[in-house]
Amino acid sequence: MKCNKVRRLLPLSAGGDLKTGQAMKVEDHIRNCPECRREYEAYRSSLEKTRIVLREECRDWSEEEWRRVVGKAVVSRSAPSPVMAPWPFRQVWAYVLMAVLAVSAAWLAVKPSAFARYFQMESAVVAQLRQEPFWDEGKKAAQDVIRMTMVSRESGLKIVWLLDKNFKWENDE
Amino acid sequence: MKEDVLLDRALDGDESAFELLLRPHRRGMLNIAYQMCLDWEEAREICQDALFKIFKYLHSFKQDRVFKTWLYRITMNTALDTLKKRSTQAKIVDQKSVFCAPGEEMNPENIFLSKELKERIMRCLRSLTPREKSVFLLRDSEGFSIRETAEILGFSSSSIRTHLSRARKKIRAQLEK
Repeated sequence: MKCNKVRRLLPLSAGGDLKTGQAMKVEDHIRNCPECRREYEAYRSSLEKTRIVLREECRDWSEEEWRRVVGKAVVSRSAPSPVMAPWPFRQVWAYVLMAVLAVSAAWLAVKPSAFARYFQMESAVVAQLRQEPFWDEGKKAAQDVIRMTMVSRESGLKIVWLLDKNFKWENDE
Repeated sequence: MKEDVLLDRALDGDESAFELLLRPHRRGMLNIAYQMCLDWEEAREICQDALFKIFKYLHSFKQDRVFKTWLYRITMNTALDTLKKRSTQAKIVDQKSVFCAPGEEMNPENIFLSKELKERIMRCLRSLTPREKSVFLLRDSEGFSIRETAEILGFSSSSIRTHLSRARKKIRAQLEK
């Protein structure tokens, strides 16, 4: 095994976390390579120091505190879930909403025409047109007369053709 | 009393059985929570939440698994959730605890050096990502094997090795600065 590969494995080797085959190869290498051995020792030392500090930092619960914490966990779990209010007192607004919906549904079933006007909405303009047609039955509507004007560029002569809606010539000016 | 007997009794809502079941692990739980967040108050809150979850989900624990591993998994996940929620950096380490074995006399120079070393190591821990930190602490502080650490954190063994290697490299680099 070469030095660069061994160096990559040293952090794990220092804590004894390599697989058996790899560990043996690394051990063989560091036995014969002083540079890698130095690196290995540095990892071992930093790991050892860290472990000591972490061990020294350890604390334990005081008996009283521990019992209180456990008791709290047990009590909070075994506390009964909030009991639902009896039928007449359960969330009144929900029942009111349900009643309104039920009445509406019943009304729709009995008298559907009462709802029809809400769904057949038409604009005020259309409604007015429907009631009062803008053309007079006796007269021809303006749209029924087509007026074509032709002007000569040279002489300035102007010819106006008036055609009815079937493009029949009626008159000219 | 055996663990499975205590477990059955705890499932029936027996508080004393639940307490006895957790007693051997209480110190480990508190310390791993502290090392994750570096604040004793927060560590106690994490343990409180973890205990609540443990009692709540005790019925879902499969008895063919190791209870200790399951317990640490819940504690670790609770600690990781707390770290996620906390946007600010870890609070300053409790300065009251002194790096000195109980009853051991230390001269001022030694106290200064060990305090400095402790602060450096705590700084190293803060520089690790939550995942690296959890792997490092479970393996190097709590002494779980690679396989157990993988089971607790729900990663593969190779992923645990990768994170452990990175964490140890970072810690060494920080200590040599």
